[in-house]
Amino acid sequence: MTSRHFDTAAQTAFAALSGDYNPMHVDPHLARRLQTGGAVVHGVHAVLWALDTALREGAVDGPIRSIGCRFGKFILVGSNVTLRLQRSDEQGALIQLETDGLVTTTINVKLGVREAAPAETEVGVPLPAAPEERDVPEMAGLSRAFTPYRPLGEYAAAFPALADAIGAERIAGLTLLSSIVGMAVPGLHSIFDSFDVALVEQPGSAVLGFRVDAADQRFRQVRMKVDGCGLRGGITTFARHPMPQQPSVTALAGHVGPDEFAGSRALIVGGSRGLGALTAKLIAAGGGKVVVTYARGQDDAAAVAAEIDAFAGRQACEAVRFDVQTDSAQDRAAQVGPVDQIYYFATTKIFRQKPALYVPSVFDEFAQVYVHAFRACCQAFLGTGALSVFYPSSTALDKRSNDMTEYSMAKAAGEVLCADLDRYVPNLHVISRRLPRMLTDQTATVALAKSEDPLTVMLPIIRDVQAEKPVVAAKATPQG
Amino acid sequence: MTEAEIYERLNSVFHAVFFDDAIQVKAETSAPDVDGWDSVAHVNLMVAVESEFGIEFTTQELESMDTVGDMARLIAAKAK
Repeated sequence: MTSRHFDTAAQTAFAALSGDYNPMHVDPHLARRLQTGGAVVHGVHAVLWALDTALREGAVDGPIRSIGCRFGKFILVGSNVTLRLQRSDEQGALIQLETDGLVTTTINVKLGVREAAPAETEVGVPLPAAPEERDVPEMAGLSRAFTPYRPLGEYAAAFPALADAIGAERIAGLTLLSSIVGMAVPGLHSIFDSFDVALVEQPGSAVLGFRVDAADQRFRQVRMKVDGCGLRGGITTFARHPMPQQPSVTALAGHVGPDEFAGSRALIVGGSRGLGALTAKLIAAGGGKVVVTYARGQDDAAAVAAEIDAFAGRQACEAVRFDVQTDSAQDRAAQVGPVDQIYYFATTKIFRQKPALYVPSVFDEFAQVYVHAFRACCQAFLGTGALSVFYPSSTALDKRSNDMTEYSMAKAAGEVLCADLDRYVPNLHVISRRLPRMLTDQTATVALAKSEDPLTVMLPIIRDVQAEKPVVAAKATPQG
Repeated sequence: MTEAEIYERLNSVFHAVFFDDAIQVKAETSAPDVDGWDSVAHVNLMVAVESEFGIEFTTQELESMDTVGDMARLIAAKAK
């Protein structure tokens, strides 16, 4: 059992070796907004390390005939990866890579005689300098052949035991699998799912060609055949949805009356992007003032504020840092001043790679954001005046996938809290709705889930919150 | 094709997709019952089922399938 830490330096080195500069691997700021929540290790890098290690340690002994690999989970940069040999015999080896007890990668190595299979393509072009971007239907039938990004000696130097076993051309070919997926097809919005290649005798083949076999729009799945550099086989990939672009305030202005929300001042917790940013723009488009808070997306929040101010022709939006997990709600309430509405979109990463159905620390983190901090926020701003509050729950409570246990538990607790705050706390009106799945940064993935239009979901809710301007009256058992 | 045949072939598909020959699917089997049946595995499963039975599901059909029983009924209706 061998472990290795995949740090940023290793990441940069592999990008320079492979030419795969997809931002999900090399741009931590952008990758934070993806489903992965951070920059991820090139899957092929982990596979090459595993094969090199397995050969060096004698776990794979004999001529490799084929390599199959499935990338089940992402490996975040900064992770420790452990190589586990599940099986090793004269047929080959089954290797799994684990991070925090979670299997991320399964590699199936078969031993045997390599067949002769002359390459179909001999002329290649250099990899694109930047990741290409196109819709899934446009990928159907695409084909090209690429030359290795670096001289062959560099591949041999990076993985010497593997080079002795399969030759530097094939290592170059395997790194080109990563580059094809990350830079060409599907390109910018790609996820590498699996590959299965036979090692074949192709003397002199120095380019790797690919041809798209199937571009399945239903699943956003793209399957390709590859041939060259002594490799022949297939790869399966997914094309993520591009990150959703919010409509502009100007575009939204057509959906609301110009003074519909005039006179209101709303706090949008988590307003730098997604539904929060949309809500801020809608209220501003209707003549209201907004304060958007952000935890990490300062630039995004500033951009929302600038767009709203430009639309209003005056200062109508302030951007304030407020990390509900660490910052005092009381301090923020003192800083922001009175508001009459709160929209609570604070969130943490929703979709997790977990080693077990229920992980207490994951629940604690969700509960901190969706329950404790929400209550603290209501309590703090209630001190500045009566409040109408919106709490977004989720239809995930009605129909859960098997990795949403802690999230759903915390949102269910949030719903109970909302009901009781609404019922018992004077001057506080709380609306909680189970929102359908909508296309946001966190949900822009490959899953089939149908997504609703955020505008048609959020606008009626904003109108309800506005209509429920708090009536200052005593309620039973005041407490908060 | 009988229901038993459909389930037998579905078992083979599950074994290949999830690398687990011990899986025995039933009508009520759904994602939480099978290790590794996440959204990406689901797509691989659907593609494998389509290929095994020579059929294609519509997006609406894909969204309507919650259990293996749902899947088997659709297969029986389509693979005639």
